[in-house]
Amino acid sequence: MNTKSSNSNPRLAAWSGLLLLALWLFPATAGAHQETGTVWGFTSGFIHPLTGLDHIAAMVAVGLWGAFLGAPAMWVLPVVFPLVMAFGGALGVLGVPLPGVETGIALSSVILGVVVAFAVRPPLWVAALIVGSFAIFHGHAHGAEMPKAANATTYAVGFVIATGLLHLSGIAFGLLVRWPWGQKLVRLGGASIALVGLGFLFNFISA
Amino acid sequence: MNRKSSLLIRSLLALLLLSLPATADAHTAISGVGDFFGGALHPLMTPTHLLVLLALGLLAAQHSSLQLKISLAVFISFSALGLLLTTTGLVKTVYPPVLIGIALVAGVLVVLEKPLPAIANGAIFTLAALALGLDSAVENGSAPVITKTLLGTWLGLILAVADMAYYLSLLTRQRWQQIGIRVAGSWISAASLMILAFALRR
Repeated sequence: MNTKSSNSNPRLAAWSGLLLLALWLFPATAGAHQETGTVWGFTSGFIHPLTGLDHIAAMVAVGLWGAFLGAPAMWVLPVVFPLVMAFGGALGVLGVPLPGVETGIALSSVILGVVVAFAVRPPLWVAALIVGSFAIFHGHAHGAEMPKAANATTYAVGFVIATGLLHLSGIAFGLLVRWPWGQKLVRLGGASIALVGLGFLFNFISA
Repeated sequence: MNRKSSLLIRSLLALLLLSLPATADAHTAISGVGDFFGGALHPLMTPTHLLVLLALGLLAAQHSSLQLKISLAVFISFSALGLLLTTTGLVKTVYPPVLIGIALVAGVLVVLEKPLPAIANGAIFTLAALALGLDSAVENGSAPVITKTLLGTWLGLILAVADMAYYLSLLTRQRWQQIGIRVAGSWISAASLMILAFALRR
């Protein structure tokens, strides 16, 4: 048996699958200039987490902290976050009120930035609990702000994919911790995120 | 033909199909492709169906090869039954939260990566196959049109699940690949949970 060839297939299959998924979701395949329907829903959902610095900072911080903590936190945190965020999103969609959403979002950047900056290494369940608690606020804000005209299915898919990609970018940055200079850079990144969070918390920065 | 070129041809074919301008028009006839291919593309063009199929494909990929065969056999049989039942006119569509609920449960099971008893696994595939079949009713047309469309849908459903299960099962050999599948499962669960809320809001 040719081991090399059998090993190359899964990778090829993975890339083909990702490519197809990306193409299927590509906006050009549908009725552009129309702010309703499948593709608008995806675009709207995908863009939503990318339009607020407060959201971006927290999502990246989750990946950053996960990478800093190493396996299994590196993938457990980015799995916990979207699941709990979706729960918060469901509350937002259903109109269930949640007090202090904006404060919770700003605090999430502060706390997650601080734990990265100070290289805090709690047990995995504590890290998951912290991340999960903040995810509810992010989800609620996104769910409550969903445009009524958008296709719900593709909006949710786009929204979750964008969130996951933000985590991935945090992980990619966080993987620099394997080098001493990278550790300093990652901790600096955490401090910057905490500062952004403080800016939102005290209204020096507006969303 | 070796596996690599077969994969390439399938990818190119899928690419071609996806580049059709009508891809965004879910739940409507795709003009120009004919009844059979219109039916075959229906599961791929309906976002909710695609989400369920993805979740099932990921779940099946985590199974042993024996369980994978059983799951597929169940899916093939019950999707045929569901599609046949649409011809009676008793069921026009399936209540959307049912389909989304199936995707949610399957996604959570993928995240947990725990081996399921055969009966529980069979129940999920049975329910999913029936729901997908029943939700693919052809609204109007002559008997040959309906037959061709339903046959196409059946083939589309089977190929989607079988292909995804097969190719994704190739991605379970290394730990990081298994983790990737679980992350994908969490994304499907998260999306399903939100869609469920949207569906219940209406």
